[in-house]
Amino acid sequence: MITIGIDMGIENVKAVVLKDGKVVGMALVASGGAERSQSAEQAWQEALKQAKLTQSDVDKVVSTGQWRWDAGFADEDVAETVAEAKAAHWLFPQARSVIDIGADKARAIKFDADGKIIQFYRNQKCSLGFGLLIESMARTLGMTIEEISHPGTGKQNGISLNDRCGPFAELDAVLLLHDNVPRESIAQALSEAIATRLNSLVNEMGLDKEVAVIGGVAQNAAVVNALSKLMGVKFLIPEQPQFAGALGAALIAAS
Amino acid sequence: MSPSARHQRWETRPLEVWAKAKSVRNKYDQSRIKAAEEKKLLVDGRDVQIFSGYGNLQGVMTNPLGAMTAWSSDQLSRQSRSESECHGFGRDICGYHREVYGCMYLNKDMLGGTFPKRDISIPVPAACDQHSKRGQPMADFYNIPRFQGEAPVYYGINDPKRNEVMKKHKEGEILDQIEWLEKITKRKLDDEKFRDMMVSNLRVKKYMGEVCALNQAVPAPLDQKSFFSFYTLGYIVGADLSETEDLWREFRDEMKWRVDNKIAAVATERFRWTENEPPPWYFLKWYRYMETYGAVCPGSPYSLGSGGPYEWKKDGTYGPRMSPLDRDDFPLKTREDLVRAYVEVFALGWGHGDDFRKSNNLVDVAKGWKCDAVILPFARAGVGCAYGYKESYIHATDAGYPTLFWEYSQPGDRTDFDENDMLERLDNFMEAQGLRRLED
Repeated sequence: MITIGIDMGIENVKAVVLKDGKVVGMALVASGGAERSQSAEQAWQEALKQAKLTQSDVDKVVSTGQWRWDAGFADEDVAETVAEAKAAHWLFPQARSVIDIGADKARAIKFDADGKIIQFYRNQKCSLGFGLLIESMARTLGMTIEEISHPGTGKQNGISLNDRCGPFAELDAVLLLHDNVPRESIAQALSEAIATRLNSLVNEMGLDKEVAVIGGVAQNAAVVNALSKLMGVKFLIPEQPQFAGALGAALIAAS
Repeated sequence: MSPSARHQRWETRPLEVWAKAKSVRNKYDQSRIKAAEEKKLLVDGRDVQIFSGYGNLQGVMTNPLGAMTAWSSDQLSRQSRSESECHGFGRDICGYHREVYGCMYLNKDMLGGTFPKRDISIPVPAACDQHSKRGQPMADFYNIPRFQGEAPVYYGINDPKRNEVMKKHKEGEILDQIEWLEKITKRKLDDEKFRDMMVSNLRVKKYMGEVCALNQAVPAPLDQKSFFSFYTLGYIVGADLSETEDLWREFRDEMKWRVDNKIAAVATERFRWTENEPPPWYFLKWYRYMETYGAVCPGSPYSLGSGGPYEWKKDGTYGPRMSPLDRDDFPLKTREDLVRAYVEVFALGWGHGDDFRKSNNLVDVAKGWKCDAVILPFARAGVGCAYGYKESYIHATDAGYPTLFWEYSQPGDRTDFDENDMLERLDNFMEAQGLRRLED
C-alpha cells in the first residue's frame, strides 16, 4: 500500500511517502503563505519523484497541520495531535509521550501503549514562537541557524531572556547586544528561555522517562540539550524530526 | 441524506416552554425600564423576594446586563467598554462592568432608549471581587445609597462548622439589609408579602433543581446553550415570581416528558463534556460547533448551580439537596426563618467559592452528569473565572477526565478572543478522543 502524509505547517509543507510501512520519499517546501496550496502540490510531487512513483500509484493521501484543508488533493485530514502521537508511537514503541516543537506552536502529548492519546497540552497564546523566534533571533544576532543551534558550553552564563514572550525576548537580546554581551551567550540564553517555556508546558502533563521529541526545533541541539537538562530526561529523537507530522498522517492513511 | 442525519440516534424537538420563557424575560426587561414610570425605586441588586416586601422596589442586576450586552450587540459592547475606559476603568476590569458602566455613562440601554437610573445600590457580593465592587461606581455616579454585603469564603476542605458560621453571618447581614432598606424607603417590610415571595422563590429553586437533575439522563434533553436562556430566570433575573414559578414547573414537567420519551437536545449525542465559568457570550455558537461532533454539554457547575446545592445521595446519584420547603428543621414562619432558608439555598449553592471546593464540585458534576471530558475556559482577565482554574485542571485530570483548556479574555469582552485558536484546540481535542466531525 502506498500512502502520503502532508503536514501543512505555518512555515513549511512536509510530505512523506510510505510504501508498505517504509518511508520511501520525503520533501519539504516553504509554505509560501497565500501560495500554500501550490506549495502542498509541489511538496507531494517532489516526494513522489524521490520515491520514483507517480500519483496514480498512491492509494490515499491524508493531510495534517494548521492549514490541512488547503491540501485540496488530500482524501482526508487529521488533527496534528493525532498525527504526531501516531508518528511518535510508530517511531519509538517504548515512548509514552512526545513533545512537538514547531515554528509557532509546541505540544506535549501523552499516550498509552496502544498509541491512544490520554492527554495533550498546547502552548497558550503568549510565548508563541519557537522555530520562528529562533530564526528571528538569528537575524537579530547576525548568526546562522547552525550557529544559533550550537549547544555551546552548556554552562550557565548568568544571562537570561524573557521566557514568556517572543518580542520581549528579542528586546532583551537587543539590549544585551548593546551591552557588548557575546552573541554566543545570548544564543545560549535564548535556548534556555525556550527550554524553560517548554518545561513549564511539559510539567502540566507529568511526562515519564520515555519521551520523544519531534518537529523542526528538535534539530536544534542547544534547545534540546537545555530542555533535557531541565527535565532530567534523555530524549528519543528521530533522524528527520521535522517530518514526523507528515509521517503520522501517512501512517493514518495506511491504517 | 445529510451527513449528520446518517448518525442520528435520538429524536429531537424544540422546547415547548420557550414562548413562556421569552414572555417572562420580556416582562422583566420592561419592568426595569418602566420602574420610574410606575413610581418604583430601581435597586441594583438581586434579592427580589426582599424587595417585593416593600411594594415600591424593582430589582435589576448588572450581571445579566453585562453578559447580554456582550451577546446582543458587538457595537454597543465595544462602545460601552471604550466609554468605561475613558472614565478610567482599566481593560483588565471585568467586561460586564465596563459594559454596564459604559451604558450608564452613555445613558444608553441595550434594549434601546435611555439607561434606567438606579435609586439604590445593593451589589451582590461574591468571591469574584468584581461582584462586590460593582455597585460602587453606580452609587458614586448617581449619588445613591449603597448597602455593601460581604462574600465570606474560606480555603481548603469543606468545613461544616465553618459553613454554619458563614451562614449565620449572612443571615445577620440580610436582616441588617432589610432594616437598612426600611430606613431608606421609609417603609416597613411587609412580612406576609415577603413570606409569600420567599416561599414562591424556594419552589422555583426546587423546580430548577429538578430540571438540572433531569439533564443527567442520556440523551440529555437540554443543552447548555439553551439552558443559558433559562438559568437566570427567577435567580439572577428577578422577574415576577408567581409567573416564574409557573414557568419552571412547566419546564420541569416538559423535561420529565423528554426524559421518558428519550427526546434529545442533540440528535447525534455520543459525547458529553462539562466546563465551568461563564461562556464567551459573544461566541455561544461554539456549542453548536461541538454538536457537529455529536458532543453536548449537559451542564456545568456554573449553570447547574442555579439548581443547587447538590449532594451525593445514598443511591449513588448526585442531586439537589432537600429543599427547606420539605425539611422539618426549616419552619418558614418568621422573618428570621425565611432569611435562614434563603441563605441555606443561596449561600453555598455555587459561585466562585474557593479553589478546593470549586474544583471538587467540577469533578462531582462531571460524574453526576455522566460526562466524558472536561473543557475549561481560561479567562485571562476574568479574576473570579480564572481563580482555581489550575486546581480544577489538576483535579479533573487526576479523576481521569481528558481535559482541555482554551484561552479567552473575559466572558463579556471579546478583545483578545481568538476564534481560530479555540476551534483548532477543539478539533485537536475531539480527534484525540477518536471523534471526527459528523458534518462540515
